[in-house]
Amino acid sequence: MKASDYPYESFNARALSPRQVASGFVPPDSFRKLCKRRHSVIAGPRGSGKTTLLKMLQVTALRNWTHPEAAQFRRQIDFTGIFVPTDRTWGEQLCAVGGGVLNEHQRNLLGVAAFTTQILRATISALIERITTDDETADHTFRKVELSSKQEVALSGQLSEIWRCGGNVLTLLGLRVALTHRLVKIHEVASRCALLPEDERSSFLAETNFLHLNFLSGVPAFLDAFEEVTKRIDERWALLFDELELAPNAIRQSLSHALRSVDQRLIFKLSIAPFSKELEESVKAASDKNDFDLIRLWYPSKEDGYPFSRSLVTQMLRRKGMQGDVEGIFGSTFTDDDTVTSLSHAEYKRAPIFRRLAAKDPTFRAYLTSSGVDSEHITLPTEDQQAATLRKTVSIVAVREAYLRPSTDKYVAGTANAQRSRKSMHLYCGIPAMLAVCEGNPRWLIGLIDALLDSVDKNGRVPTHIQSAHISGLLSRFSAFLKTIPNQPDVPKGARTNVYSLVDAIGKAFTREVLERPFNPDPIGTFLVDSHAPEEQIFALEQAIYAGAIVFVPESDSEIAAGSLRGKRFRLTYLLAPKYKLPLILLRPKSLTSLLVDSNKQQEALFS
Amino acid sequence: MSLERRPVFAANLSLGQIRDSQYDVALAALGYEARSSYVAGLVTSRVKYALPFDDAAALSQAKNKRVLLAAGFDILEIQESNIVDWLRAILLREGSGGKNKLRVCVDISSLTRRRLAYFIESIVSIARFEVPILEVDFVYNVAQFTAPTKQPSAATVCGPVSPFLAGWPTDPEKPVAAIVGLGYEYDKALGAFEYLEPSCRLLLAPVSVDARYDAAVQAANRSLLESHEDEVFRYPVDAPMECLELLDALFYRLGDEFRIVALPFGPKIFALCCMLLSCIHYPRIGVWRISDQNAGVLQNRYSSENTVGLRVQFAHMSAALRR
Repeated sequence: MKASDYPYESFNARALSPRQVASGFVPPDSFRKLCKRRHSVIAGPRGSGKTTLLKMLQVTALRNWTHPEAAQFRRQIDFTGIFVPTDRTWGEQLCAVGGGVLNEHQRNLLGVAAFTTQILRATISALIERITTDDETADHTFRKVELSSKQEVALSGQLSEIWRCGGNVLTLLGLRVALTHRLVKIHEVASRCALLPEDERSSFLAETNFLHLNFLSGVPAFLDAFEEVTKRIDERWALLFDELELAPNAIRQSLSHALRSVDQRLIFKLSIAPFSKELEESVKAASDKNDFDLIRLWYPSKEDGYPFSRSLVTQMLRRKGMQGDVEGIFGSTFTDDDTVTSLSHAEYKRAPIFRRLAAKDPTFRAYLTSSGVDSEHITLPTEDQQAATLRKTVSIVAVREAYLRPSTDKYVAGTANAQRSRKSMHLYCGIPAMLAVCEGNPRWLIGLIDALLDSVDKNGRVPTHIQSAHISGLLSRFSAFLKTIPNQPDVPKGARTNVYSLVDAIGKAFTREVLERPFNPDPIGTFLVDSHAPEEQIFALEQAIYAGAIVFVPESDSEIAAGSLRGKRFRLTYLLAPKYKLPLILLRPKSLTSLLVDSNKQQEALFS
Repeated sequence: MSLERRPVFAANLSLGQIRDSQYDVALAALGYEARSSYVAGLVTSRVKYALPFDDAAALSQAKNKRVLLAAGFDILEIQESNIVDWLRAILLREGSGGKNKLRVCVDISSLTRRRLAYFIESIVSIARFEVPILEVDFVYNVAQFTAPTKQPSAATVCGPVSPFLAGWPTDPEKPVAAIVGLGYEYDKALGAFEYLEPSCRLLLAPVSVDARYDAAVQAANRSLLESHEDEVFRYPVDAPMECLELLDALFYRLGDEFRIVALPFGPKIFALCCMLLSCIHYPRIGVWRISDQNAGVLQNRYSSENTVGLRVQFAHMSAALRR
């Protein structure tokens, strides 16, 4: 079985059929929230499972879902999901319509018309799912509707007229084909319009009727016709808009307004990147109606993601026919002290690391001395205070021990030459470190674990060097992705802030704080976006948040990932921790501007 | 813009054929690469135009300018946004007077991918153009090998090469297939895959006359090539017609099931083939580009003995359909 067999596949669930998505789907808590008959906004970075969750609300997915809790969910869900996907390719094509000749207003008109056509087509597909019963293994009672031929002809005819698809449409499939043709037609209209003299274009577009049909009127018209033909009154339908941040501006704006829809039959469920402007608009709009859930799909604290990650990994093991537990297969993580409450075996095992670091890092020796610990003879601690002192430093000690060079006469703490060049990836191997590195991001987790499970040795374990190699591969792919994210368009060359360059600068600044400065048990390792951060930097940060490179760390559960980034706290994703030699813990914050300025100063000092 | 003409015939071209041809219009870039003026200097044409780069008054540009001026080229500074209209006007003017065929030569060696896309847009979208056959020889001098930088820099632009070649799907819900030409920039193809997230990935590796280039391409894309997750095809750099045929076959294989996006990294002749394919099946294939920060760091490229070409005839849509 490969990663693509899992609902959260290693690339993207977008291309999976509803049946594939349902196969092996494990419902996270967020899915329970999403199933409520309320507007929802799912906010999460790329790969966090937004698409899978939305796709699971499709009728075919729910009918084919065989999880023990599936029947209960089917009883609870009382709406019909209409899934409307977007991706980068389609988003760019919608923006490019008109071949660069038409003005913004004309492009918006054509783009929204194309998107509306897609939504209407998806609506018909959802209805077709409800009347289809050709899969013997599925639970067809869920959202089942029977439509006689006569009713289908009546409904298709009415909709064809309302949606201006022309006459002689007698079936729902025919209607869907007509909408496909319309999509092709919209491109033709755009091309023909671009050939016209500039002053004739607007009137040409004004006379093309179907361009002016908006989904906000088109879908309610469908509901009216459906009710009239089937006599099913007041059924709820949920429009499931995926990856809204990739859609063109005009479409995002109309969707934000859609949340203010007064038609009670329509529910909107949007997936969107944290801190996108549309999320702010959506939150405002939905809050007005006081009937809205914001579902967060990332984990500011690594421990929050462990339950979901563990159940996903366990399911992967079981589907491979493996009975062992995850620690047994991947080993435990050296610095995982979260569950250690007393000075025990785990603490004892760590003593050598403390001794080794003390031997090569004079600043650590000084710290120990100032904390009342005998740096020459660190042994099993006996006093609570001493134990606490050591315990809270273990993650920092581990990275410094792994990455700092042995003490020599030339050793100068606070300089890059104190760093060891070897790649010590072992800190990030084992469970739960790998779960932390994957951030509860199903795409990363499945990509990594699926590959590792092919390398189980005869003792039923995955050796550390294999884990290291695969974590390194995941990191390389992620770095390559970050390097591909383009700059903000329409910004002068000198003012551009590149996503990768910014993330790299932050990462290197944290490396200096953790490794190159004198030992500090609580070094800088998070940042606050301050009022001096330029707008171009804010744009790049938003992109980095969507990419999953930067993670929002709210000060409280009520602080939501919307509105301005300024004043909010962020960390680097733990996936980048091996690259920048950082511990997998939440560290102290510093303002972004001063972090980068200090970092530049230190760099200059090194080379002056 | 709509497609008025479609490629209907193509054939490989040798340097001898290029040298022996009498063109009506010759187009080239006045670039900073040493090879920029190599082929253009050999071409015979009634009118010749070279378009300089915006910010490349460096490296070999002064020498290229002398060579091109001596060869009779007019050097014109045309704003990027006006290139399509400018070239259409040239073609209309040169094609007037009841000609049966207009012959154009485009030296793509130092053209940016974006400008190449604009040139092609001009050629295929020209309306009210009476000349039955518009024959364009695309010529390309393969540069001498220069080792790549190991560290790829971050992208500044990532998206359709031009709005005209952005593509348009018959069904936006179909999954995306990416046809990626491999170059020797480290992990560029890998980054593109991660960015676009295609469901189907095809790698097209160039086979050059210089083994060092092929080895560099292998090294730069090692993680992709060794993963065996993707199908790998090879195309000869010195036979663009074979490359075009391969791309066409791949389109027929994928076109029903996928939306297709081509990412032509590597030799520019591959980018040309992708753009022509996009015109043949217009508008179903999108052609993308990724420019990185290194693009701003000028690196000289020297001409080699290896010049290749592709002769393409563009016919009116009505004539194209008859064929």
